[in-house]
Amino acid sequence: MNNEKISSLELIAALSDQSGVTKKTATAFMRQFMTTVEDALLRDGTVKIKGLGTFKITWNESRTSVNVQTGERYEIVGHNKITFLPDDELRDIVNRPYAHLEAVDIEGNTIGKPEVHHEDEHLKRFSEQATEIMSIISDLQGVQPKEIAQPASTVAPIVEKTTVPEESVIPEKIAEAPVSQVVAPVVEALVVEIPVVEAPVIESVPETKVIEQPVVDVKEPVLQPEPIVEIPKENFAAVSQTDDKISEARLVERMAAQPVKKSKKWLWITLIIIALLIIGAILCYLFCPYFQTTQKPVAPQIAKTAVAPVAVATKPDTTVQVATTAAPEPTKPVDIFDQPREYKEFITTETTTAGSRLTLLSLKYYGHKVFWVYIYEANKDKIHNPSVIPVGTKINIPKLDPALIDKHDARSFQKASELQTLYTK
Amino acid sequence: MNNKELIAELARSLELPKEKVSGLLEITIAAMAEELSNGNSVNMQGFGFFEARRKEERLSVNPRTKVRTLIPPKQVVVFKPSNLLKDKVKESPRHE
Repeated sequence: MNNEKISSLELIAALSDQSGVTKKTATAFMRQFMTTVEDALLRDGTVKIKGLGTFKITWNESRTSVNVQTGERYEIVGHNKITFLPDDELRDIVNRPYAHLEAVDIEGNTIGKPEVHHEDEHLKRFSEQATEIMSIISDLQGVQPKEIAQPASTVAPIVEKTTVPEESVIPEKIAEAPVSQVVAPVVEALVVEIPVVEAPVIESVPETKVIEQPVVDVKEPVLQPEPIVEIPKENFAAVSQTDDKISEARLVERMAAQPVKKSKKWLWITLIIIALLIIGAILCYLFCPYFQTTQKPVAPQIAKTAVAPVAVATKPDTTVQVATTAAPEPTKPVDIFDQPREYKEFITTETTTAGSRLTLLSLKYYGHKVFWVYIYEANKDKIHNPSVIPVGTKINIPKLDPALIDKHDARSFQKASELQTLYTK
Repeated sequence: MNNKELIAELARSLELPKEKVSGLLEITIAAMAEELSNGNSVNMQGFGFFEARRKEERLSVNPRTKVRTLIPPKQVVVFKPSNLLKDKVKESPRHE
């Protein structure tokens, strides 16, 4: 970004440079342009200039205002003013550095974020509770090792049993309440958390399978036992990892028993997904050779017929081949658009004059301005800047595949405009 | 006045063929667009001043759906008429 002020003098110099007219003519043109626009603006109230924009006169209603210094009220009389609305073309050219940016829906993001936050909160709460339980249990063990040692009971019974005996120790009672309170949320937290741990496991399993399938072509029953072994393992691993903080092994075992039951349901879902993926892969594999064999020969042949129909006429063999191979191939236009273009045959050669534009040549020979990119591609060695062509340049107009310059086809348009954005950078 | 009329008018007063005038006009505008996209401003003495300005990103709220949207920054062309032209327009009778 260089913030220079370009005066009309420099603009006139550039104009005479690029168009080949004398400076005198360019000056006269510029002056006449400004006065004509001005006159027309005053006469009609609106002037539309293609590629630049629209000048318009709008009426500002009279209104009262206040002088800030004296506090006096005064009226601004109604008057005309000029508004300028840049043309789409100019707007896009100037906005090119930011053209890739798009409006972002903030709401969508903020909806997504709290979910992640919730998980964190659960984890945080869980680890807090775990440390709490640990401290409580260690307290209990320190005070009454006998009662805690009772094995096959849940945590709730422990609380009950501690209450049943005589009201011997006072600190023990204080410990009771927090234990029963804390245990319930822990179970909740675990249940909420386990699906989160499982999700990535399920995703990763089918992914690796997909990669394997095309190469080895493994059968379904062989694959099925694998995930059965894998998933429970990972579940246990994940659960035990998160539960490591809790020293009490019993707690972990009881809580881990629940998710294992749940994971069976997940197993079935993963098996179904894997089966579907295998079927998809087989279908793909069946169609693959078809693509590989047809794509290669069709592309060059089309190029031959398109570029040199005369040559094809003398060789009937190739035309027959094209007819047979191209007919069942629906991806024919795709090949034309994707293959690199070669320009060997030319319709004619044009010598540029003042005011010649590639777009105008394209309009003349191909029926639409957008296909100027192909003329540019064919004459890249002579043209440095597609928007500035020196007068007297000999431009070869290439002969193109009719599908490439079909102005009724959206694809050819899209391709041309893609190229256009590429070259006008 | 539209582009066609402008070219016709220019061709008549400059005594040049229309094709030539339209070519000159296109080159002028292309040159202006080039300068503007390079961050330069174009000053046409006695007419006005074209400038590319950066509009910062902003938050907009759809009043109906209350969806908040982040509008990215952009570069826009602004035109400031010269004082001469501004005064002429100001004194002109009201249109419409």
